[in-house]
Amino acid sequence: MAKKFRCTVCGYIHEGDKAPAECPVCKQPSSMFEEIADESKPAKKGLNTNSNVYTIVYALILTVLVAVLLTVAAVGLAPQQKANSDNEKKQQILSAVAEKLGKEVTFTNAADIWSELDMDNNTLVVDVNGNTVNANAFSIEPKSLFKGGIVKDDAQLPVFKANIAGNTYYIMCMYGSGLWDAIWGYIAVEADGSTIAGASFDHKGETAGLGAKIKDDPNFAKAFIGKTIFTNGEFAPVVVTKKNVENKVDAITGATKTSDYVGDMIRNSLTGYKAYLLSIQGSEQAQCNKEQECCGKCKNEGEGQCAGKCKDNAEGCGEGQCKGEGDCGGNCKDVECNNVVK
Amino acid sequence: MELLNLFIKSIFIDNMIFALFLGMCSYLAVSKTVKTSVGLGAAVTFVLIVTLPVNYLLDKYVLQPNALIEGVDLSYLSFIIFIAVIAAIVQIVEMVVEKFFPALYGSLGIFLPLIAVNCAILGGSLFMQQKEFESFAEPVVYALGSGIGWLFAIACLAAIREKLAYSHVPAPLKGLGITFIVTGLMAIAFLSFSGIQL
Amino acid sequence: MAAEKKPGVFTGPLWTNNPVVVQVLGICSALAVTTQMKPALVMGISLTCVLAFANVIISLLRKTIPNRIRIIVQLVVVAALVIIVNQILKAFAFEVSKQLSVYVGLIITNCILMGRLEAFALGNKPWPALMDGLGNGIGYALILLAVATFREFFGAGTLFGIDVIARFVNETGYDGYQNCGFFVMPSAALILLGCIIWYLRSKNPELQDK
Repeated sequence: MAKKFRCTVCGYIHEGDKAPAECPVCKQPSSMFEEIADESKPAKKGLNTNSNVYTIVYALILTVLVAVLLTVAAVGLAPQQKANSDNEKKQQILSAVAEKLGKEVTFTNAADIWSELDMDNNTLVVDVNGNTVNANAFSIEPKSLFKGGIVKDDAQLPVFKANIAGNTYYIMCMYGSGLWDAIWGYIAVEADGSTIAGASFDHKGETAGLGAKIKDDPNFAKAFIGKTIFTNGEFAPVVVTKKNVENKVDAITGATKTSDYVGDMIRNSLTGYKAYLLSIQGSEQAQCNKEQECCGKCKNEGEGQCAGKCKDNAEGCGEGQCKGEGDCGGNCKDVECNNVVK
Repeated sequence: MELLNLFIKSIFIDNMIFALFLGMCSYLAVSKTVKTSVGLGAAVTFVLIVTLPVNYLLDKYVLQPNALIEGVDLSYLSFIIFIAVIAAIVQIVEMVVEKFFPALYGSLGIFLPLIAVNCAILGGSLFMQQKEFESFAEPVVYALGSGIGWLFAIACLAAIREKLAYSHVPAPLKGLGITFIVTGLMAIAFLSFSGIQL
Repeated sequence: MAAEKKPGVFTGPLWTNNPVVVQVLGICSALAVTTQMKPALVMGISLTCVLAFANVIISLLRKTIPNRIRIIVQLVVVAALVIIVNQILKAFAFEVSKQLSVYVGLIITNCILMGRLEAFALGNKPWPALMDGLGNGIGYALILLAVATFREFFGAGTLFGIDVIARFVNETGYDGYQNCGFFVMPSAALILLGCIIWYLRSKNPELQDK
């Protein structure tokens, strides 16, 4: 059968056993011709790669192959990824008390410190009224608690308690919007329910080198230590500003906006925790660790602050003041409390 | 109000070109004259508006953890689903436009195949996924805003490049080099929009 | 003949035919991930892997791919590879994968990939395709690193996160280095890349626009 040759210059097609010596159209020599495969005999490979059936089968096979491959990869790596994101969360939570721990919390040592402090068993979840709710604190996504930058009314807020060197620090989550995208963090409060023991911040997309300093510059978070959330009993959280006011942290130079948003975030987030913080303060004022008062109040469920705390098994007696205090053994006669202590 | 905020933000602040560097390839290649660049910009906006809501629904009801079947997380498939949706929609749009709007096809048609692999489109979907929108209106507004922002950027650049033809740019800087620098300067100008809240 | 060709296929894209600054492909991610060197390096490696594998796979499949769904097949292969890379990054380089965020996904639409697959892998044997993929990927990574070096050095005074300027300054006793915020802005990346092109074209006059 005759072969076909195409002139690469003008596209003239010549049929014959070999290319013509000269193209009849554009006078190019035979070297400019190339042989074209005869399209009338695709049987050479046994398959027509342009037929509909072939195309569809090809697509199906490819889809199945790719799906299987990806599923294997995703499922195989999922535990590692989950561990990573848990670890990151632990790191962020613990960074809020890094100063109190006396060491930097890194991605690598976060899990160790976490289990050292037995954090898994020192969490609780509160609602906006300060009452304890039965839920898993660690699995709560801070983002889900907020709508439009404000804590939802039915939010279940996680609290992580870190017991370091005999002191308890309450670590709470914060979330808000920054200049470009979300910002979030954790803030640790001392047992008095007002003094800030440390904070950690993170962000999705603040300007690197400027707004991103809320995370990258350790001095920014450190500046919050010792500031307060309540002033003379009034809810007035620390502000982030360059202005010369009381109870403030210096705004970051060149990132005034991001700094403002951090201040807003702290205020809005802690508003959700306000009732809980007051209840911590309340219990301290009531001096629950003193036998007489505490016992009297604990037994009396109708009594004010202390009763509110101690009848609540997860909170007062279980992990708070009463636990481990010999003198409180008396107040824990309460059936509910007893169960928890045991 | 939030929608308006999102709209303004996606045009000026999170501008796809000046802040996120999406769709740079076609931005550089097709910005020689204002007319073609507006055509491409319109096509990008159009495709964004069509693909983003579709991808949003897919993401929300199929891909996200527990969306389709309880306990199944398909989010690892999002890249491939998104790009497949985009490629398919671009094909369909091209066919529909060619059949029913020949005039529009004449002006937009040549750009449509280019767009399937334009990172602005896939990037739009990925950023949309990251922003975790809650209502259906948000991705639509976001798509519109991002598209207009892109159109705006490429039209501005084309206008500047038309004028640039008459200026004495050092030979090695001509063409691509100066285009980058001009874009950089425009990006600085766009920085002044940052922090706007409505 | 073949022996001459291979090094050209590999080394060409590194400099004289660099995909980013000469062919102007893959600019998007080149600019977005270069505020620091570490993500830039990881991005470069990721793209090189994806490109090399995709080139080889497409080259192996080149005779079987139905012409009509050619582009889709390429996209699917690339997307699958990118997903795998993304999963691996999430599992083993978590911090960096967060910094790269969606730009890993955008490797799919990186013009270098589609460009090389269409132009090279579809018409060549696997070995040259592999070389071509590696060459282009490394060429891309080099430019990323060059831009990132400038941006990180001037923008934050660090290289790979190691404080270079501050350390030097501390030892010599001068006041600290004031970070130049401009270099971390998106615009700096554009201008830097413009300058790199300027330099390259002044060395290689044949690349200049007429």
